Amino acid sequence: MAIINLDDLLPGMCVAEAVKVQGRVIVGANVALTEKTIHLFKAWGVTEVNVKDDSIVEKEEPAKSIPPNVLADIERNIKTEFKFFDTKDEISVEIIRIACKRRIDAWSKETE
Amino acid sequence: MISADITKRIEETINNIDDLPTLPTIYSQLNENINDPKASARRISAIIEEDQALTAKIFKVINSAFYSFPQKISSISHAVVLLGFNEIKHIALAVSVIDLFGDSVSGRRFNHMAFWSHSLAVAVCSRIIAKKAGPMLFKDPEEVFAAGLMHDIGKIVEDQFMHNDFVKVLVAAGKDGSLIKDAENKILQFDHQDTGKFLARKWKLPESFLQVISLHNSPEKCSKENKNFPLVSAVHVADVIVRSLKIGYGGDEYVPPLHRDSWDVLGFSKGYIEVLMQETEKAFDEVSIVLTRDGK
Repeated sequence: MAIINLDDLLPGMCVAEAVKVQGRVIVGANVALTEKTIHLFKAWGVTEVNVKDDSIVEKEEPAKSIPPNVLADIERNIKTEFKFFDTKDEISVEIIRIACKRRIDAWSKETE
Repeated sequence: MISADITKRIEETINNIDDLPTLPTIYSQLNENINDPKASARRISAIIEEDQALTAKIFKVINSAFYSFPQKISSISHAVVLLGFNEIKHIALAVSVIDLFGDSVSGRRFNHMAFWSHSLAVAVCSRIIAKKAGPMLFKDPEEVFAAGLMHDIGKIVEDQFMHNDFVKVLVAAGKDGSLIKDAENKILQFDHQDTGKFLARKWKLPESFLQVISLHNSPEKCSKENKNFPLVSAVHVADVIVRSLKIGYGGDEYVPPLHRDSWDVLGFSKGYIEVLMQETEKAFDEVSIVLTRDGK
């Protein structure tokens, strides 16, 4: 479970704990959010919601073009650092994917 | 499995180090008193308060954003009641170990400050894992924190007391592109998990710590039925996550392979990896301010 700010909620995320306002449940646990429910939260003054980890989706940032040579450097470094990883294991592959994504994000931030 | 000869060699090396730091007596005093069925919060608080420097550091830690208690804690007895006997003992142990080995030695090939950043980040990540996995697996998140902090203690022993051999290890790891553990085994015929275990034994640390220190890079050697397997696994996974985040320095440039059973025993979903990385970075920033030498 993770507490997500209202501004970062996206349709499809799944509510982990019932959202209550003044003691009344306005959206129950295990319900997938829609544009309408997020709008409802705004109207009720809900500021954050506990959502299931598996359902967290990131807001798509407008893709910033990363120069091919920078991308190649990042990929080469990742390949070296993770050379002992089992690339047939899905958790290991996910760790590599996130590490790679974070390096690209960090590069984008640095060059902003 | 290391041979009897090597075991003897490590033992002799550790025993012959005259200035090997010893844990403050406060740790054994706390241990004895906590195991006493008549232990009281007042008695435990009094033992800690005898060491004013330690007390001040404990306040800094527990009042940091990392612990996020709703109000400021200004007495040790309050902390003991809020956290529990064992939890406060493990915080005292963590603070003491950083004090013992935390001095940064400049000009060394093995950067101590970066090493402690790595150890602290593993401690922080291990504690996050323990809190997330819950009390069925981890009764005391502070034990997990202290074990994470000490997992690589053997490296600092090797750098301080077998310095020339350790430099050869670092050079070989860089040249061969190998994990430090493999370079150690090639050159020394033992690795930091072995030296760390001897130190932990000398310090009379509990079996759970010995197993984390001696198995965090090889959790497959720990039976899944072993009651300490979740603890060893938490620190192993934390080590992998922290290396992936590139926080600090552990002696080589590679992320150690993830042991899948260690991930599975924690019961986390794939989607939690990114959250764990984000929480670790945030918590590391919060705690490193108060727990490193600079934050004293």
